[in-house]
Amino acid sequence: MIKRKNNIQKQLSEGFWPVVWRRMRRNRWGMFGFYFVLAMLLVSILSPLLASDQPVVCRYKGKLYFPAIVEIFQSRGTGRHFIKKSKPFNLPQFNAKDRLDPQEFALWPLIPYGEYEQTLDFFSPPSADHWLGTDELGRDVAARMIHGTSVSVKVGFISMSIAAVIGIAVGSIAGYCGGKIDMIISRVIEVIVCFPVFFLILAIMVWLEPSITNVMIVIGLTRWTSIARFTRGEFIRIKGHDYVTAARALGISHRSIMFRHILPNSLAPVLVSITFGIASAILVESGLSWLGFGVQAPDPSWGNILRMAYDSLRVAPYLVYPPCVAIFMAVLSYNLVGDSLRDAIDPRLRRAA
Amino acid sequence: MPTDNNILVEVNDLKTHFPIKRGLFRKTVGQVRAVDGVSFNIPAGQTLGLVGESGCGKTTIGRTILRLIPHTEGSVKFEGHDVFSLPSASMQKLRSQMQIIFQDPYGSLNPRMTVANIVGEALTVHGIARGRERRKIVSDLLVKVGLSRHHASRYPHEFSGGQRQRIGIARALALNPKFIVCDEAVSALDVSIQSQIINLLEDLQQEFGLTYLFIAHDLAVVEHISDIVAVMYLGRIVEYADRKTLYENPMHPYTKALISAIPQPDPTRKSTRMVLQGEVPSPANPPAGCHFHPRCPFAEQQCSQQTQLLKEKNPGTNHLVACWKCKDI
Repeated sequence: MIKRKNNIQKQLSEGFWPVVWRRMRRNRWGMFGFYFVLAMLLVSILSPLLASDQPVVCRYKGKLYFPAIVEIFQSRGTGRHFIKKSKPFNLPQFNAKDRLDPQEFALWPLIPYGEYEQTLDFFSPPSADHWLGTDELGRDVAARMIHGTSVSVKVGFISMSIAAVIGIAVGSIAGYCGGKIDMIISRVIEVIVCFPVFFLILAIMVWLEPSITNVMIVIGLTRWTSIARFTRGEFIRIKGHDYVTAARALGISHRSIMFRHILPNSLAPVLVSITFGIASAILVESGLSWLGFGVQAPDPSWGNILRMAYDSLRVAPYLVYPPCVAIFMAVLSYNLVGDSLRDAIDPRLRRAA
Repeated sequence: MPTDNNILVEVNDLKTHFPIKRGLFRKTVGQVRAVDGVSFNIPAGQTLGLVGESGCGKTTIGRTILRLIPHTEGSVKFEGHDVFSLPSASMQKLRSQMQIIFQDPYGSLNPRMTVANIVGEALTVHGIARGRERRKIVSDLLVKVGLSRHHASRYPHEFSGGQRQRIGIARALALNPKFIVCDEAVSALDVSIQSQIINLLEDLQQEFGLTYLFIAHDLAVVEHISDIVAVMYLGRIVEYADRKTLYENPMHPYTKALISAIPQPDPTRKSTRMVLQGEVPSPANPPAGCHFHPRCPFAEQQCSQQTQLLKEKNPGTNHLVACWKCKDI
């Protein structure tokens, strides 16, 4: 009996975020987006297990090696232009196709090609060997797509984290302090909003060394305005609530009122704007890489894969589809997640929760 | 006005004006005179009922006394300390002595905090208790206001309006205050719940020797709980007397009109209701002289020119009225 009572209590005491999650799960398209984002995250973390020129597990001269798993923990992507296949993993007996010694074996990733590995089939159409074909340098496009995922994931999360920190800080100060400070900050935001962001980023990237890090920083530094505006609006709305007045009457410090009382209640709509921001950051990065200002060849990113495919459109038209579909799906997924999040934190719910 | 020594709260000529700002540069184009020269005393352990229509400045008075809204003029003394001139460190200490209970049981509790945090946060902030000790105090408070101790881990949205109001009361009691402003504390509740909360407030007053400023617009509720009653109209107090005198022998025409509007649970009684004409004027542009004169059936020329201050009607009594004509009516 007592046990049952405890269960009921646990079930009842549901915080705000569990309620939001429960409501989000009802939205089929939102969940589709959520799972796609989750899949992107997994692919970007586990990319060496999915596509690599080194085996996942192999036995060589009686010893076991896990080269692809080791690769997960090494720094990948930027800077490592041409992999030198370290001994012994480049030895021909590891190639499953012509293995000599039955004692030695190698378990290869799903796609046994590295993102930089050049084969001698140029522009080969999709086949069982090269699922998405190869490009003008004979590289496997599927492997490059898989390794390019981490760029999109990183750009989305890191640039929006920078933007969120700046936006929430600026917006909460403006909303909480009000008066002259609010006026000045709001005017500054209005000025920044007026810049065409993509061209601003292009102009800055001309001066900076084109690299993924710089892209992330520049996107982060220019995309915080909408987050700041949302935060400011929420702070102004919540500042007038009685529970904030009660906190002041109890003598709770301004900092604590801002961060413990107002911020958690204002975060939900800000999160929606961050989700949409990630989608647009992915798009901006793809655009920059396409133009050659983002991720530099031969590092793969969806943007520069698309660029190479575009350059050889006549010879190999099938190469443009994978990056196009990937960019489209990523942006769509984040937007679906943002949409369903917005529905789930609907103000009618906010009153109840 | 009572002049004995055990006055807890002393309000002197309090004014709270809100600027009306317009245009690009937010120029001040006028003032809303929400509270316009109000004086009263609250003796320790008693309840002052403050009644008036909505918009007459009742809530503003309560919040100005607690220094939650900046005042314009005048002073408030709490146990002899001038509340408005205290430096922030002393004010912090004083805050634990005076608390507030709100009207809206839905908007007054942070939806993201558990009841334990809502009630107990102030204990941590003021360095009174933490950890297990805090949990103990919080569950004692919850029991005291008629909730149960396992409610501590729940969120506000799991409670009914009356229960939420009890949580708000527990929060106000957490610091063991002497003075509580009940800002329309029962107005948003059902009648049956109202009586429960009022009884709770009375019990707590008995137990802790609390002093209340009970703000309401329901005269029947105020009659039940108050020792002294002040009637407000458009930013000013028009009548101030102990409960019995005010309800049996109202002097100001506005008070008379209000009291005649209380529903009587007696169908055979003939209604002698005094119905006021017109609307309450805007506090941004109050009428000259007595604020009530445009609606007063007894107004004369003098009423529209000069303001009568709150005065003892008969010397020696504690019945104050702000009306030129009250002796004649």
